[in-house]
This record gives sequence, C-alpha cells and structure tokens, in this order.
Amino acid sequence: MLEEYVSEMMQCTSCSFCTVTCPVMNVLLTDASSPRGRVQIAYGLYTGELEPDKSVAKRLYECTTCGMCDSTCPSGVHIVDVIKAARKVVYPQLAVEKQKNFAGNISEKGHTYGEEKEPIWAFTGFAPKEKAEVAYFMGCKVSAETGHAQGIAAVNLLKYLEENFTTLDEVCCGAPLVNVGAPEEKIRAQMEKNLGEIRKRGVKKVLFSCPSCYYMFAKVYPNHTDVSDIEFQHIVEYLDEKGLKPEDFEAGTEPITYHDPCHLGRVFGVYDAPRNLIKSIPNADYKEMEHNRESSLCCGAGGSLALYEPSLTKKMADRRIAEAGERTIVSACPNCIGNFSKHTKAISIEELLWDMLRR
Amino acid sequence: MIPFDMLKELKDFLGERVSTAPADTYVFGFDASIHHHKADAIVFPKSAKEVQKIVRLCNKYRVPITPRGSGSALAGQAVPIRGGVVMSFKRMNEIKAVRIEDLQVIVEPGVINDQLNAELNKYGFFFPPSPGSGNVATIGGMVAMNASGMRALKYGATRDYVMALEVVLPTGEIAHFGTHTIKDASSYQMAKLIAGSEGTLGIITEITLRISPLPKDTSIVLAAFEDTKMASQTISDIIAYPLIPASVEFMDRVCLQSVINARGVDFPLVDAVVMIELEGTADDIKNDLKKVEKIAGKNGAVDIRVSSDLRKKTEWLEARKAVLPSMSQYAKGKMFMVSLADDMSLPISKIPDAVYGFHKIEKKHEHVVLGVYGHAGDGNLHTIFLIDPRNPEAWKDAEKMVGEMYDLVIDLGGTVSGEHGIGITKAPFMWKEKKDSMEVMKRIKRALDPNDIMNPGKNVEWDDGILVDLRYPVNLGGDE
Repeated sequence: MLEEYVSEMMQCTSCSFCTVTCPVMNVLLTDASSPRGRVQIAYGLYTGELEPDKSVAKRLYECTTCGMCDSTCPSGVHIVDVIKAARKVVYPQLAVEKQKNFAGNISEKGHTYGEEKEPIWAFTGFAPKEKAEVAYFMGCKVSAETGHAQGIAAVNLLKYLEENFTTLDEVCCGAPLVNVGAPEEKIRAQMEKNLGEIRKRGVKKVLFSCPSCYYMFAKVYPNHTDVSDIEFQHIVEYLDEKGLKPEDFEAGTEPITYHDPCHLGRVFGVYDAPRNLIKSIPNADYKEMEHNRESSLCCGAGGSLALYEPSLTKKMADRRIAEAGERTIVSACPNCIGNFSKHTKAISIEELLWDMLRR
Repeated sequence: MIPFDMLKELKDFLGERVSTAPADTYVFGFDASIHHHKADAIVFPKSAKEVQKIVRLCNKYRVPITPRGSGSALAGQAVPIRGGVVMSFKRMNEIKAVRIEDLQVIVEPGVINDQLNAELNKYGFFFPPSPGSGNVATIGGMVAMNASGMRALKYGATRDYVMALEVVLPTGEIAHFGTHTIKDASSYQMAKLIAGSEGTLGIITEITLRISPLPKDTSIVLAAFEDTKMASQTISDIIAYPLIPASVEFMDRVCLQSVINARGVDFPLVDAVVMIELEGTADDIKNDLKKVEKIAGKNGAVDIRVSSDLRKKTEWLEARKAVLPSMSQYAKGKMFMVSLADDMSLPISKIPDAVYGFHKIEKKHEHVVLGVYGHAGDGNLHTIFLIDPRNPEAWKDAEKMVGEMYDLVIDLGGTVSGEHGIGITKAPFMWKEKKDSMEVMKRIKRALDPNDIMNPGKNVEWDDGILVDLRYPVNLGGDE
C-alpha cells in the first residue's frame, strides 16, 4: 500500500513548513500530530521500523485531510495522499467501531447512516427523470448534516433557473471509505453504482453540493476508471455561471461571513463563485474572516475526524467560530455546516440564496 | 530506556504532557538532518520550573535530554542520538514583553521567528536575523544554533541580539546570564556562550533580544550570470566597493531550477543569480542601485531585474528562502535532498574560489548533484546534496565529497558552519579544523554537564563518522 509513495515520503525534507500551517498541529501542539509527523509515521510503517499500534492509528486519524499541508509543502509532497495510504495499513486492525460501522453502512445500505431510509433523492421531492443532460448529486451528508435543507434549496434553485436536470438514485460517493482507509474494492463498488446510474440517465454533467462528493468524482474515480465523458462541477460554480442578478433578490441580509470548504477551495480553487453569488444579493451584510480563501482554516470535520476524535473537531470548530464572531457562517459544504451548526448559526449557500430570492 | 520510577515522577507532574507512545517517540527521533534515533519519552513543559524539575530528574537518573524547537535542525541537533527525553517547547510560546523604549523583547523559547516579527512590526521594529526557515524556526532554536540567515551581512547573527538568557543548567540550577542593558561589560559573556551551544550546555527558558527599527524602504536586484565565477566575483566587488546591502544572496543553476519547479517563480534560469537587497531612503536605494548595476554590468551580467513592489519582493524573498526544501523538486522521484556539508563560512573574498572549487569536486563524483546557494555577501554558503539515498554507492561518493569540500573550506581560511551548527553531521570536520579550540570547549562542556545528559553525543562530544543512524532505507554495511 505504501510502496507507491516511497518517493513522496523520501521527498520530504522535514523542513517543517507544513507544521505551522496545520490546523490540527496548532491545536494539539505536538510534532507527532503534524503533517510531517504523519509522513514520518507512514515512512516508519513502510520501513518496518514502526509497528501499527493504537498510537500510530491515533496520529494518522487525527487529520482532517484539509490539504493545507499540500499547499504549503515546498518539496511538493502529496502529504494527504500519503496519510490516506497509511490509513489503509492501520484500518483492518485499528479502526474504531464508529469508523467500521460507518464503512459498513455505506457498503450495505448505500449511505453513511444506519437506519433504513428512503432513497436520498426522495428528500428533495424531485424524482429522477429517465433522461437529462444535467444531474444533481445530493450526497448523504447533505441529507444528514443539513436536514436535507441544502439539497432541497439546491433543487429549488435549479428549478427556478428552469434547468432541465434530474436527481439520481445515488449511493454514497465513498469519500468516508477513503477517509478511514477502507479497502479499495469497497470504494470501487460505490463508484460503479453511481457511474452506472449517471450513464443510464444520459447525464453529461453532474452538480454537487458536497465538495467531498465532488472530489471523489473528479479526483478519485478517475484513478480507477475513465470518466472523461462526464463533467463534474460544484453547484456554486454552476449558479455563478448562470449569473443570478441583484434584481432577483430581496435586499439586505443578516450579518454573514463565508467559510471556504477545504476541498472546494484548496483542491478546486473555487473561491470567487460563492462570493460572487453572495455579493449578488443587494446590500448583503458580508465580511470576510481573518483566514479566508487559500488560508482558510478547516472546520474540523473533514477526513472523518469527528468519527475518531470529536473533541478535536470541536476545538477546531471553536477557533473558526471565534473568527466569525456574531456573524452567521455561510458555506458550500454540508459537513462544515453540520459541524458549525452544533455550536453557532450556519447555513448553506444554497439555502441563503433560495431564502433571499424574490419568488 | 527511562527508569520506571523516573517516568512515574514525570507523569505525576506533567500528566498527559509526557508521552512514551511508539508513534510519538518515533517522530521525535527526526529533525531535518540525515539522522534518526528514537526517543524514549517526549515532554512538553510549560514553565522554567517544570523544565528544572525534568532536568533534575534526568540528571538524577542519568537520562539524556534533547531540547527541541520546531525540529528543523540540519545537522542532527534535535535528534536524540542517545535516546532519552526529548523536550518540546511548543507549549512555551509566549511573547512576554515588548519594551520598545529599551530596544528589547522578552520571549519564551517556543515563539516562532515570523510570529515575533509580526508582533514587532506593529511597533515599527523587527528582530533582524532572517533564516530561510524563519516561518517555522523558534527563537529558542535560533539562539541555540546562533542562526542568522539573509541579513547577517548588515545586521549580524542571533547571538548579536541576545541580551539575556534564563537557562536551566544540566545540574538543575536556574541561571540568569546577560543583562537587560544595551551595554554589558559585567564579567564573562555567558549568554553569548550559550548562544550557539546547540543545547549541550543548558536549556534556554527565557530570552531577551535586542530589536531594531524597520528600514524605511527596500528594493531587490536580481543580477543573472552565465558564468558562476563572475557571479561570485560580483559579490566580492560589491562588498569591496564599499557597499553593505541588507543581504547579498547567491543561487546556482541547480537551485534556481529547483525553486522555479517548486514555486513557478520568475527567476532567470542561468548559471547563477545574485540577489541583492538594498535598503534605506529612496535616495540611498537609488544611489546604491546605480553602483550595483555598474558592478554587475562590468562582470558580465546577462540580465538585471529590479523591484520595489512589495508583492514581487515578497515573492522573490520567499522563493529564495524556500530553496532548501525545494531541492527535492530538481529531479523529482529520482534524486533527493540530503543535508551533508550544508553550511560553511568563508572570508568573503574567497567565495569565488569556493564556488568554483565545489563544482570542480562535484564533477569527480558521479552519484551526486550539488546545489550551491547562500548568503554569499557575508561569506556563508550552503551546499545541498542530491543523491538517491537508497543507493549505498551514492552515500560513499557523498561522504568522500564532503571531506574534500571541507578540506577546501579549511584551506581557504573558512569554517565548517556559518549558521546551521555542528551537531553530528559536521562534528568530525570541526575537530579537523579546530582541535585546540574543541578541546577547550569540551572542558567547558564537562564542567557544566558532568553527567553528560544535555544533548549528548553532539558537537564537541561527537567522535564518530557522519553516516550514522541514517533515516534512509539503506544498508551501508558495518554498523548501519
């Protein structure tokens, strides 16, 4: 598992540039829980100098995969990929029950949550069409973390724009499986179900509300199969291209700020689209947080950290919430919104736009 | 191994701030050098009193202590080569007082250089030493290494800014060295001795630094050359003019290619670039710029670029600072940067001979690609080795090459380290260069640390080779 990352690991010069920008390291204040430390642990597992044990699993799972390290690393090491590969080594013996249950639910029931539920699309009230060129992939986190609200708003916005689109009889994209280090075949099974569903309906473009789903389709699936016949896009990019006009909205908002989701920002570079949409609302009471765009801090819920160490997730969220102050946090990721909502007022950008639309 | 009773005592007062977890002891066995050795325990003190208690325990049980800032040392200073306790200063990171009227700041050792400067900037002041790792280097680590960086030509090194230190001695006493006054002729300059002692004489728990007002303005000149010798000649000519810029940096083609690959910076890809940072009033800079252009032109510069734009200056400076970690991007996946003979200091006039000589030595060794860069204006060069660390032949080649390079440095009247220190990797060459001096230093070490617990096996106490406890998956035979 780690063989293919030997060069990556040796490329690390241990300069420690990644340690000062890592939001986890900045909470835990130990080099063992820094990106460099995790690469070194992966290296120890590879060389056999380090045996997988609880302490190894702890340090590998104490990471939100936010990618701040990747964007900081002057040596060009793909640190998050190394960490995810190392998690595969510890997963069979050392994953905690919550992680295993989560992964089990995905494989057995198609989504991340234990209870038998209706299909994900059902929460939007908009059944899949037989054929459509554009599809909306809601994602199980949208359902679970925003009480379906983000997905309902997204569907409503697409209807408002009179788009010819369909929902999908989807299953979990598999991101949580990658996060915990579950076996490849489980991830491929999710991928095959989703791609089969998309192609069956003649879909050429898939829109996402969840940056992690977007990441899986656009960055992980292509490692396994050819998906060049399908275009993937986050819905904020799509809505921005469509150009919602100020006259479409009611004027004024409560005090708001925008939190850049890690994958949407650092992986896809989508920083302007959500801000353009917010600014299309006349007199929006908007202010940036101290850390924004490329330097945005992780909410603490990424990388399935909350399954492993919820108290760390909370500490990271607290730091971000302190930056937001009294402002409502708007974001384009169900995981971030769900995490913030436990402690402060947070809303998806789809809900904000739908609420503010004159209709 | 740490005795059970000692570990119990540590846990009694540190609680969760002591760790013996295998993952942690493994990670704290690395710094940015070629060496690795597992620690036995990691401790995270929050005060000088806690440091004192830990040191007393270590002294009582004869357990080694290795102090650690950010773990970015390049010669093994933060590697617990004899095992024992690694003491992390991540939780002693407070700026305790900024006393502008007294030209000083008081900090805990875990404060990071750039964070300190961000704070001082609010007052129009700064702490001038500017290592390439300034974004991660702790002040404690900088003092322990006598770090300097780009501006040493004009401003000096960290030691020049150390006014006072609180130090926990190896036998457990807390001593206060230096004064809070600008002038100090009060007996031995003990604070200056601790600065640069690499954690072998005691543990620094509080630092008082002198600070300087920020310069009015700066401009950066990039002078590109297709002849390395003429580039280094330009540096000597600038100093001899006479002109003392804030910094004069040198980068050869390998370094330029690496940093261009890593950051996409718009440095010209030539045999060598000399980067000159001018500062002062607008008129000062204008006048100095004319002189620099004249000297660079006379020496055959093929391109001269000047910028006073803040964004461009920052881009160039940050790229220059990132040369070392960018080196792994020169031949990605095939050759990797290893820290060997990474730092030497020469009389400024000998820079052209040294650069020429290093590349001549490189040509004799087929397994090594050498990158040369550094703060050439103050005579400090860095040489970065690119090898395949999985290949034993590459190590043998590199080891020979290090010896030849340091022989040249010593012949030219230089010294084996300008700012990265001695640690493990450079100790044999320090013995070769200054045996008499090292013998005296050893007496000081033994007087202060009779049980040899303080960062043992480094610097004056190192008497082995350089390819020991390598962190790479390679078998060199013998003990490796």
